[in-house]
Amino acid sequence: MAERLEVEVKKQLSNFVQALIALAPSRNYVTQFLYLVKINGGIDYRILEDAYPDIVKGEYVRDAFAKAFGISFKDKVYLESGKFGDFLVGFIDRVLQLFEDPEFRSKINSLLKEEYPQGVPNLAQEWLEVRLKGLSSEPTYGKVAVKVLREIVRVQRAKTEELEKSLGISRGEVIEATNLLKLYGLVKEDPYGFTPSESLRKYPQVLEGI
Amino acid sequence: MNEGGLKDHLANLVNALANLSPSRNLVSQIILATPEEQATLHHSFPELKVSEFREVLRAMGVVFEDKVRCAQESFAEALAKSIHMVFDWLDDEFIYFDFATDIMYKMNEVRSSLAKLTGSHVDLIPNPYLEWAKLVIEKLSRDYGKDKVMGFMKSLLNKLLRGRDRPPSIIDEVGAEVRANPAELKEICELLASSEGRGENIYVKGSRRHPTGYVWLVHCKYHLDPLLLEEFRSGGYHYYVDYVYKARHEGSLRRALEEVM
Repeated sequence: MAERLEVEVKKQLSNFVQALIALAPSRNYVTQFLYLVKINGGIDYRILEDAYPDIVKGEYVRDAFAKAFGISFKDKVYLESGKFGDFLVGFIDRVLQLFEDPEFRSKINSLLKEEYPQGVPNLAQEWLEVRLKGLSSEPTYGKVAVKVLREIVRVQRAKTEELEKSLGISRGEVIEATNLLKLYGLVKEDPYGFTPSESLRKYPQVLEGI
Repeated sequence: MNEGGLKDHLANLVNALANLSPSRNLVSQIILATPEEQATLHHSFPELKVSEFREVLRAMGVVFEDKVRCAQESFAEALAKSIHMVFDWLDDEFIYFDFATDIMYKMNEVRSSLAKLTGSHVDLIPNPYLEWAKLVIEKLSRDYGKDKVMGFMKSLLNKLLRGRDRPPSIIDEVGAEVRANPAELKEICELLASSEGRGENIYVKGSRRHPTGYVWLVHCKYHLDPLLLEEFRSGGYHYYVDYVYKARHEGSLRRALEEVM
C-alpha cells in the first residue's frame, strides 16, 4: 500500500514538475517572447520584427496572438494590462523563483532522483544562460555588448562615459550595447548609471562561461 | 524558427497549462481543496501519507496545521490563482475591464485564435474547466443523486437572479425547482455555486471614493465559480442598489451536464 502510494506520488509530481518546466522562457519560444516584452514594459515593433519574425511579421499570426494573449502590436508592442499574457508572465516569474529555492529543489530532488539524476533545473539560472547566449550571438553588437556587460559586472555600476573610457569604444557602440543589455533584462539603468540585473548578481559565474 | 516550431511551442505551452489543472494533477487538486481540516484532507488524499510528498507541498507554501491552508504570497497560492485564470482563459471567459468606460469584457476569441495558431480544430484545444466541471458534476451526482445536482445547475443557468438592496438568495430562487431537503440544498449550493457571501471583489466601478457599483466573483467549494455578482448603485433622492447574478462558463457547464447525463 505504502509503496503503491509512493509510486503514484512520484508519477504525479513528475508530471507536475514537467509542466512547470515547460513554461520556462528558456524552454518555450512563446513565453520567452511574452517575458521579454513584459520586462521591457513594451518593445519597438521593428526590434521584434527581427527578433521574433514568426510571431510579429505575418498579420494572421500577429492578430491571433493579440487575441489569444492580449498583446497590442503598434509602433510599440506591449502586453495589455489585466489580460492573460500579462498575468501569465507574473505566474512564470513565480515558477522561476520556486525552481531556484534551495528548499524546494532539495525536497523535489530527493523524490525525483530517477527522472532528474542531475537535479531539477534551476530555471532562473537557465533563463539567464539563454539570454546571455542570445546576446553573444547578436550579429551586430553582440560581442561589444558582452564586453560592456563584463565591465558593468566588474565595477557594479557604470555610466555611459565611464564605459566609453574604460573600454576604449565609441559612445555610439556603448549606447547600442546597453540598449541590447536592457532589452535582454541583463542590466538596469538609473540616473547614476547601469547596474547588473539581480539574476547576474546571483549567478555571476554564468557570464564567465560565455 | 519555422512555422512548425512556433506551433509546437504554442501547443507545449497550452498543454503545460492544462496539465497543471486539477482534472489532470493531484498536486493542484490538493492545493485547490485547501483550506480544509487536516483529517478530511488526509481521508480524501491518502497520498498525503507519503511524508516526502508533504515536504514538497510545504516547500511550495502549503501549511499543515489542524486546518491545512496555503500561506499568503506563497507559490501554492499563486498556483491556485493561475488555475482559475487558465480555467477562464481556455474557456473564452477571461474577464478584463476597460477602466476608461467601466465596461467589463471577456477574452472570447482565445480558443479560436489558439486553434488558428496551432492549426488544429477548436475542439482539440484543451478545456480544463470543462474537464473539471464533468468530474465535479459526476462526483456530486454520485453523492447527492443526479436529479438534485443537475436540476440545481440547470436552474441556476436558466434563471436570471436579481435583487433590490440585497443580493438575491440563490437557495430561495433555485431551490424551489430542486427536490432536495434544505440541508442538502445548502450543501449543493456551497459546493456548486456560492460558498460564502459575495465572494472576491474584482472591480469597483467609478472611483474608490465614489463607487457606482461593484463586481464580485462568487467562489464555490469546487471552484466552478459559475456566477458573477454585479451591484448597480442609483444616486439621488430615491437611492437604491440593484444586484444581478450573471452566469459564467454557461456553454461548458451545459455541455458538462449533457455529457454526464
